[in-house]
Amino acid sequence: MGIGTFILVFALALLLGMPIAFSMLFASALYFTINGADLMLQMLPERLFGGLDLFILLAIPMFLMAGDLMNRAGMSDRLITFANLLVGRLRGGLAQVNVLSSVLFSGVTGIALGDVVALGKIFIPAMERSGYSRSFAAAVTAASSLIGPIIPPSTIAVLYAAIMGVSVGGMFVAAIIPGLLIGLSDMIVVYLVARRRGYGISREPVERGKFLSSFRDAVLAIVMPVIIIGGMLGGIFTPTEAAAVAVLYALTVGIFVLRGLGPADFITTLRLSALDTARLLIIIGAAASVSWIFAIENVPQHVAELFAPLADNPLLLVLCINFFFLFLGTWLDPAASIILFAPIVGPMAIEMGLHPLQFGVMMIVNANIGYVTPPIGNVLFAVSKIANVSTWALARELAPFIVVNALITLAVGLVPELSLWLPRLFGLA
Amino acid sequence: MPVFRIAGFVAKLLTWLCQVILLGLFCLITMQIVLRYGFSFSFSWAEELARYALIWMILLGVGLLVRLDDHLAIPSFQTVLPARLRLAAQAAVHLATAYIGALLLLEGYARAEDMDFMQAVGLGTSMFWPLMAIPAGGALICAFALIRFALKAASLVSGRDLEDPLAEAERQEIAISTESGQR
Repeated sequence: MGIGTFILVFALALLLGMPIAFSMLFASALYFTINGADLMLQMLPERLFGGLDLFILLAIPMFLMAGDLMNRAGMSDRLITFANLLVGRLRGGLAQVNVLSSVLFSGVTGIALGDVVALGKIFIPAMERSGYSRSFAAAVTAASSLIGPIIPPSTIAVLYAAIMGVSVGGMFVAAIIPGLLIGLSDMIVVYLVARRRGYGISREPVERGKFLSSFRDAVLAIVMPVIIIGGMLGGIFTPTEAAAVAVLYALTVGIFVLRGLGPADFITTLRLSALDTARLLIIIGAAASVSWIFAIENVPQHVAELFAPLADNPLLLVLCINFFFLFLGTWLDPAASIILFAPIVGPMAIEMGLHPLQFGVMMIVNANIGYVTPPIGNVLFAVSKIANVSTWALARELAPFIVVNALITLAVGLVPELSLWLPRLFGLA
Repeated sequence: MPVFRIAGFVAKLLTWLCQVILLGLFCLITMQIVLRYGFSFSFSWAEELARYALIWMILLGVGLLVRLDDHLAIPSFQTVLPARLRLAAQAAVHLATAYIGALLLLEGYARAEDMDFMQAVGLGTSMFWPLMAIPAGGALICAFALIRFALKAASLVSGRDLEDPLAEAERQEIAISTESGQR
């Protein structure tokens, strides 16, 4: 059984609906069995164990807990109020509020689906009532949710840092400008569409007292990523410790300031975060077996040879890498595509001049697009379900946002300052 | 059916265990920070314990997710298949998953026994117990996947899509819990 058959079995298992992690393990087990590599088959559980035995991975359940606790404490509602007061009077007011809320919310949650579930149910009906088409409301919600996994804390950035051996703090800082840029670009797209379709502004009056109280709430949310990044950059905490401090902060704010958290909420958060952690991290463990097979079959070397003619042409190289990951993203989970292929494409891209942090941010922005592209996109499905619109209608409305995201991905690959200026400022690159 | 009740009871126990482990992890990491800054001291075993506890939590959680059929997967192709073919595909997937579970159980246990002589540096205990997370998870994956396989095979025969009512109720409860965060 060669690498071609291995990939075919893996893809078939995925298509039949087998979970990603089990598809990897199944294809690996079959590869070792057919090739008579009994010893390797026996070592498969050990590879799984080794793939999970990383201290940095402990940050992921902590970040998931912190995000869920903030959400349960009612932070999303408060951020919406603040965003409404800030940008509600721009053209396409409520849609702009949707985007800005996502930017603010991304500082407390590191996953796109968290953002969609949290904000989608509030915004989509509200926007529809204000005259927006339901599919546009859904598209804005889906597009803006992609900021969540980019702006720190980001679970996918932790995964990338873990597998590529780069600094989590560096990744977090490197992702800030591209993340904000996506938010800004989304707002520009919203403005242009709103002007063309005649969508209005939000009429909520801005009262000083209300503004100040919602400003305080927004500060409470923004302080969380500041504590996380500041603690890591200052050498006060390791990333895992920073994540635990984020949980402590979310608990303190939720219980004593927002007064929206009770013991039952905490127990629910523990349950959901444990399941979410298992769902995500088992893919990391299973990917260790696939990486093993890739190494046996010399896949990294073949990929390097494949891209070698592009060594002198950075534009073409960045384009090719991005097309490759965009293709992967259309059918593979972003986390899975980064875990599997970043260690293969990464060293080659780095050798050809891309900085590891720059490559990482490019990968994350790129892989995120996969969340909203047909035929397979978790956010696409989730939003179309929440909004009750067809995935194709939603995909059509999403097209300009996808183009903007793709352009920013390319910009990150071609303009190192976008991702490296801040890390260099802090001595991280 | 008794098998659903037993599976439900085991799942409740595992959920509780996962919650305790996660709470323990949070306390352990926080304790290390407090000890380091408050007392210039830290336990050498804490990091290792946290790593191995996380692996145990992941493997137990993976078993729970098999029961709930809630792993990250690509279900879209299945949904376009005719009903009977879809059930057949689901049955095949659960059977293959059970095979993976059995492999992790048998080979994982053998590896854990092989590594019994090795010591975890910080904890000072045998590596047998950390490594046992894999066969334990494998056993859960295998058992829950076999139940789901039997359900889908029975569905294929009867022509009705059968589900474990307790797992279904739990799935709904989790969906409501996720949404109840949005206030």
